[in-house]
Amino acid sequence: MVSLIVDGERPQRIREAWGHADSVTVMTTESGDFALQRWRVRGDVAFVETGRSVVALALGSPSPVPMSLQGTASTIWHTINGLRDSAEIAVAVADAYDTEVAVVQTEVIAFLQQLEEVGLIERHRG
Amino acid sequence: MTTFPLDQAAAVALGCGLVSYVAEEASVRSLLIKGHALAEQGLRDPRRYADVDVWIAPESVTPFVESLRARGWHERGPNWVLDRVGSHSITLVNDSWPCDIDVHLRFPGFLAPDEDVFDELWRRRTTIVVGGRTVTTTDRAGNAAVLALHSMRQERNDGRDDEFEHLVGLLSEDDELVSDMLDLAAVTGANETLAPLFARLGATTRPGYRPSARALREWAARRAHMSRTGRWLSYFRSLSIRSWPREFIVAAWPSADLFLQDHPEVPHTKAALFRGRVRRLVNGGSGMIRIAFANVRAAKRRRTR
Repeated sequence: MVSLIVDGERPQRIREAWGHADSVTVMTTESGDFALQRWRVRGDVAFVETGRSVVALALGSPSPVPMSLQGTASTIWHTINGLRDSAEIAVAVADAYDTEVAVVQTEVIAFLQQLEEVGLIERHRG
Repeated sequence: MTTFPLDQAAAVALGCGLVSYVAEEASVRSLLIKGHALAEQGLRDPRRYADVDVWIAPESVTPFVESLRARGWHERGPNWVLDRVGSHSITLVNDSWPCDIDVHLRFPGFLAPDEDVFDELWRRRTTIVVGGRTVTTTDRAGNAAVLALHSMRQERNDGRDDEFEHLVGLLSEDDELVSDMLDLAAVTGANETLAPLFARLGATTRPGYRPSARALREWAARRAHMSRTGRWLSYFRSLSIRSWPREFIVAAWPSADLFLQDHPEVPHTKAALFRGRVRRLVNGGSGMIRIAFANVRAAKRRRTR
């Protein structure tokens, strides 16, 4: 089960898309909480585009090793712009692949958490 | 996310970001040179770069290298040649990366004291974006001087001749940049070493640092031949004559262990080692002849002035 925090000001499309997904719990909170869910690339990250993939490096890591983001991973990376939260990123990815949000949402959330764990992205108050 | 054979171009771009970050974290003054810096400033066409070149403030080289060591970068191993003839840079490698990091302590051709040269290039610093990060480099005049000295480091090198000609073409249309380079050359002891460039541009050098005759001789020897022969000659000049025979034997025909330190690519067979050492000897001899001719030419030039 994946939990999302979505406030009342979110676009209706996102609410419907996430609300219909069996694996997702949609919660309504204050907008301040919602802002915490926005994702951005950390300031201590270097990255380059190589064809259709992205190679990123968490500079703050004790032993920085470049990581390759290919396919969907690369698409998700490109949607992280500091303004979108998990739900909006899932919608953007679904749009990119012309599919339903429900199809990609679990992978998107898991991947965002993975990127956070390896020090490539962070949550912020927009 | 996957681990993968890292593309060299990507590695170099990320490496530029890495050295810049490590320097900032360690409060070390660093300047990215060559490679991306030249391309970003329009001094050379973009290309695939083999390594990351970073120039570190002389007082901070040790802490900077230590910071990279802590992140898995290390020197290739002992090298008896570099121990003797010295090097203007420390090459660091990392088993997970397909590119080296060259940490420059100085740059051949800037003959003023290392601190003065770095301070001048640092004073002129600016920033470029590489690998999604803002990194510090010197200004166009500084990088143009680096490129000119790099391309003139060896008298006969077709690739570098092309670079030199490209730079001459670019500078001949930019008087302001040439003027800036003249100021830089005066401060950094590069009036004489950049003289061929300034002569092509019809530019007159400005009063400034005057390098020693020995420093100029070493520069001329370095340019005369692409081997390390010129640096070996400087090394022998620094020794007492009494130690010449012993060092000459080591230099001319090193033991297999020493030879392999400097040429790890040579197969470890007796025949290959013999052939490798003969090639090295012939190359060194050829270098001696070239340097002798270069010295004669330089003496003639001095007489005709």
